[in-house]
Amino acid sequence: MEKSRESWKRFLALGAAGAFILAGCAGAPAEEPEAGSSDDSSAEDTAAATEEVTISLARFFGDCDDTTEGVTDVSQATSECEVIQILTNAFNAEDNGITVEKLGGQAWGDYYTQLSTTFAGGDRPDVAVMHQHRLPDYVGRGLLTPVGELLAEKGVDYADFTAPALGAVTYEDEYYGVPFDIHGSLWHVNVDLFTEAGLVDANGVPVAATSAEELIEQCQAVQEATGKQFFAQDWFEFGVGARLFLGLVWQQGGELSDGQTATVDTPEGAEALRLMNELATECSNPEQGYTDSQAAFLAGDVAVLHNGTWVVDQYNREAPFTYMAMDIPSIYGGFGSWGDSHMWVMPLQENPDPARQDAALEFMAYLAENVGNWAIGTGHIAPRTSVIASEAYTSAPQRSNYAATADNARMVPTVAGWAGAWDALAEELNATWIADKAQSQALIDAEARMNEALAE
Amino acid sequence: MSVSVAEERSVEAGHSLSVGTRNLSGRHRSANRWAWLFLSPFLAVYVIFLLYPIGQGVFMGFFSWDLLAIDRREFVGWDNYVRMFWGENMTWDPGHLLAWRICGLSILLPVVVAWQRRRISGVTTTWLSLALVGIFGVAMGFHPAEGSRWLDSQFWLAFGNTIAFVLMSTPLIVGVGLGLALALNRAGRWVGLLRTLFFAPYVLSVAVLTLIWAFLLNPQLGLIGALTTWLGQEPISWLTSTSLAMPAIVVTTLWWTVGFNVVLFLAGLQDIDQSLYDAAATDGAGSLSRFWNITMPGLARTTLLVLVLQVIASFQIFGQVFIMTRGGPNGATRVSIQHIYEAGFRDFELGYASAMSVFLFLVMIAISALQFRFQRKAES
Amino acid sequence: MTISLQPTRGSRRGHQITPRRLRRGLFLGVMTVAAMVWIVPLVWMFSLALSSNTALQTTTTSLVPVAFTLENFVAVLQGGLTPRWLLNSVIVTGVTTLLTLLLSAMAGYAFARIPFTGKRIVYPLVLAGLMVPREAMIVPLFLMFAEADLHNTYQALILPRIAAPLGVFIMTQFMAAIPLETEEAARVDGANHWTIFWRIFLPMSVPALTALGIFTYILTWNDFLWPLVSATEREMFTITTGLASLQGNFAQATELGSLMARGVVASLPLLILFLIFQRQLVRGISIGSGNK
Repeated sequence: MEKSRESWKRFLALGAAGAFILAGCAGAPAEEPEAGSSDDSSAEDTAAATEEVTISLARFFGDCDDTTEGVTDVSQATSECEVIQILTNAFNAEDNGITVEKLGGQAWGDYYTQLSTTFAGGDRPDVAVMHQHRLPDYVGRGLLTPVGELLAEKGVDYADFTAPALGAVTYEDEYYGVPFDIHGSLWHVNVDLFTEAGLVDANGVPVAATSAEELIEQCQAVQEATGKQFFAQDWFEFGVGARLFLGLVWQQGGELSDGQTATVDTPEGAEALRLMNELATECSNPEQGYTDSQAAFLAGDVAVLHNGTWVVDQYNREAPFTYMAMDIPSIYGGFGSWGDSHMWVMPLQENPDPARQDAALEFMAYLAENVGNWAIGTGHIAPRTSVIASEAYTSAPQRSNYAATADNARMVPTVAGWAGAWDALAEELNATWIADKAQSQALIDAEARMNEALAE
Repeated sequence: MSVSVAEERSVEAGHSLSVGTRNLSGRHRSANRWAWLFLSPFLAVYVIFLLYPIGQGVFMGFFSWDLLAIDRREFVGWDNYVRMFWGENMTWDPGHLLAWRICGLSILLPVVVAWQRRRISGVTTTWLSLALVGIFGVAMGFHPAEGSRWLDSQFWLAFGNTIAFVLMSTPLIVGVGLGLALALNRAGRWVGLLRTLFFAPYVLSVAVLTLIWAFLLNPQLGLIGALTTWLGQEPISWLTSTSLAMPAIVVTTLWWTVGFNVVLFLAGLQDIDQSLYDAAATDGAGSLSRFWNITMPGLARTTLLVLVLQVIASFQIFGQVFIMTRGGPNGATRVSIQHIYEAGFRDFELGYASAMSVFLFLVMIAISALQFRFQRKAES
Repeated sequence: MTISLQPTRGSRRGHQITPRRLRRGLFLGVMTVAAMVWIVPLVWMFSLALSSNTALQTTTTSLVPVAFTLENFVAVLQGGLTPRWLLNSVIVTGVTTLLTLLLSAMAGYAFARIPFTGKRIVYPLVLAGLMVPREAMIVPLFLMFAEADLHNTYQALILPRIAAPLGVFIMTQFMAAIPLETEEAARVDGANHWTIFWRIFLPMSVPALTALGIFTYILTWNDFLWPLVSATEREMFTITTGLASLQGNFAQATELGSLMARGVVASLPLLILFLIFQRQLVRGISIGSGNK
């Protein structure tokens, strides 16, 4: 029938239109520059240095191309993003035949989801940033390249790195990355409030408590003298409480895990939890999260804020009072302070391209040279002893005040599955101060859940 | 499901609907051809991009399937499911979770009443009763003995929270949606603006939504807290309260998604014959009577649509909860999808995550099937 | 002026609160409260977007911008890749929506109006697709596209999304509600299924199509997880993943104004779309009775 033939034609027309649309779309992205120029490298056998190689870089820290376009002077940076971007720009501007292309990055929450999926079946980046606590998950699955010897050939002096930094990149006695920084817990102090309470020494430096009782006494003194809250931290959003807990356990000589099982339900754990709950009820406001606690501190309403190294420069700029960044006080005699590390790693490629691998190592060596700029620009602790001793570093704001953390910060155990264990620990601890969970039960549950996570 | 308007009338018209092709009339064979013609574009995409991944997921549920390590994938049969459901040293107690079980068993009453009134058949009643007794009478009595733990301590917790969210949010979001649609179903400049206002939150992404509401609910930094302080009361910290966090998220979700239901109801209201209203008005029927006798029946199909979609959406809630509370405080807002996501992407246990997805999927199918069945009976 | 709370009959003097007035007053009151609840967070969002990041680190409880500034918006709009990201979103979302509407309408018509063998099996099978958690499907989908080497393309962002059981469900329900007489009248004239579909059912389904179109557009525009893992090159970002990539660590604490400004920029196109199309949703003309 005429009509059905007409309608068939219409059908086909629609189908064809749809196909054309899709085909047309295929055209557009194909014009984009490829993230790898393997053609270039395979075409040459001779002078590799004169060939243009493009490598891909995966990182978080945000995207600030607009403010850093064309900038290669790292002293102009005002944020983590800008430092790393300017360093990348400077590297690209050098006449080394290598172009580093940043893959679209995400905030660190989504970064690992994205990274994991590229490992699962996509284009693995040539260089990627990674936290120490995530390293075991990827190394343990054979996804990263051991770079110790390769980087040594490029001139990276591993002996110059501090002990914590080296520990961060080590897995089964091999180096799998180059440390970029150590970041850890700090005691951010409002010196004015301490002065008002008479708790400063002859040089105006706030007195560090040396026992749990003394800490509480300080708390009472400050709160009575000034009417302000003594202590603040993020009590529930980002696991900051768990970091302090960890530090306090270490200070007592305890351990959270031997790498296989968790040991939370211990006398050290119980004491640490007891102290933290006392802090929460007597000296702090456990309903404050990251943003509130920081806001309260910057408004001058808090004497001590437990936060990290990444805000040192920011607070130094913005605090309307006398500000000092200090080590976590040695309350139980030992030094215990949570630390983590940013490092650069080289994913193992399914089809390794020697030219790209070489270029990636060059870039990593370059970054290893620039850890000082990173540390000075952000507040993170430099991982190299030469940098720590250098003039530029020590004269950077506040650095000398927390120098001990640089040497003594401890990483969490290098064990696969730690992310799940840590989340469980943080949740159980949080429950004691925001949900009135019994401390003894929380310790038992935390240990059980951590073992659950570590076992798989 | 009542798609068979055309079907039922063709039956009346004498077409045979037997499944075998031998007895089909020519018109029926032609209808088949047409049907597949209309369906094939959709089905093609559906099979490739939905069914195949689902199939893979089901398959992976029987494996311990590491997300990244190819050499850590082994067949484990039902182990994943045992891990989900079971615990160490399981015992059975009539009194365990007694309050919830009595609530659940009390659903038997309306079921029996419906049967008496011939709203549902004997077969349905039997199945429903068996299911209710099976779940609330028997299954919920199982628990690990004193001092022992579930194999997955978070699974049932997350599932319970999910059910709680579904029960809290569905009537609220559907009801408010209907109310707003009725109020806004007229022409007018103000009404147009109001419609846009109530729908506007729906265009926000989950990231922006949670940002706004996390701040709103913050006792120190938020507007609600400021208002409370201005009224002389202590501001409530919603998201750190084990009892108030979930309701806070329900309200957030309501604000965000009610526009979806409003739009669907508005579209449905268009299909109701205006002349029915005119006739009723001339008969002197009050607005309430018009609502019950014309609007509600006319909206029956749309209401089913909205209800099914709302239940499914509530079962799959994830984004808001994950960002606003991360499952806290103390696991009070951890929902199933968060647990699945963490198992797959944080712990790399794709096989286990897949098994849990399959379970959630089956639960949703069961509930949706019930909803359709109920609607079908209500219509006839 | 006397105000009497008793319903008085026959009295026309003064203002009396009749049950009708009371109901109307109540209705207005409730709607006003509802409107306030809905609008205040939006106003606040705008206010934060127009405030400076530094000022927001100490004060956030203001409906009026704190330290008014346009720099957050300027930063987003001037961003080198923002136009490209917007273009990607428009293309991906536009094509997805059009194809979804077409495929869903056709499938909906088949399920609602054509009696065919196997409908009782296929329809539930399609609906079951509604109930699959999207997060659970990410990895198999990802592997599929990786093998076809199709990541960082428009196809990868479009194809998985046009298989929308939601669309089929909506279109089926609405098309089934159209009375049989309409169809039979056309049959008498000798029309076949395609003509009936194209000439009659599609035009009559405009409200449903509009609703579905709006939803699909919004859901696709705001889709985050899939574009996150599939389009990793910056040029291929959608506006949603693109703006998210601008975020530094602890962004809520340090750049709240920027975050809100980005949210506004990403959402505004959608809101405008809704404004344009909402009239199709509420035509005020009955179509159920067969008026064309």
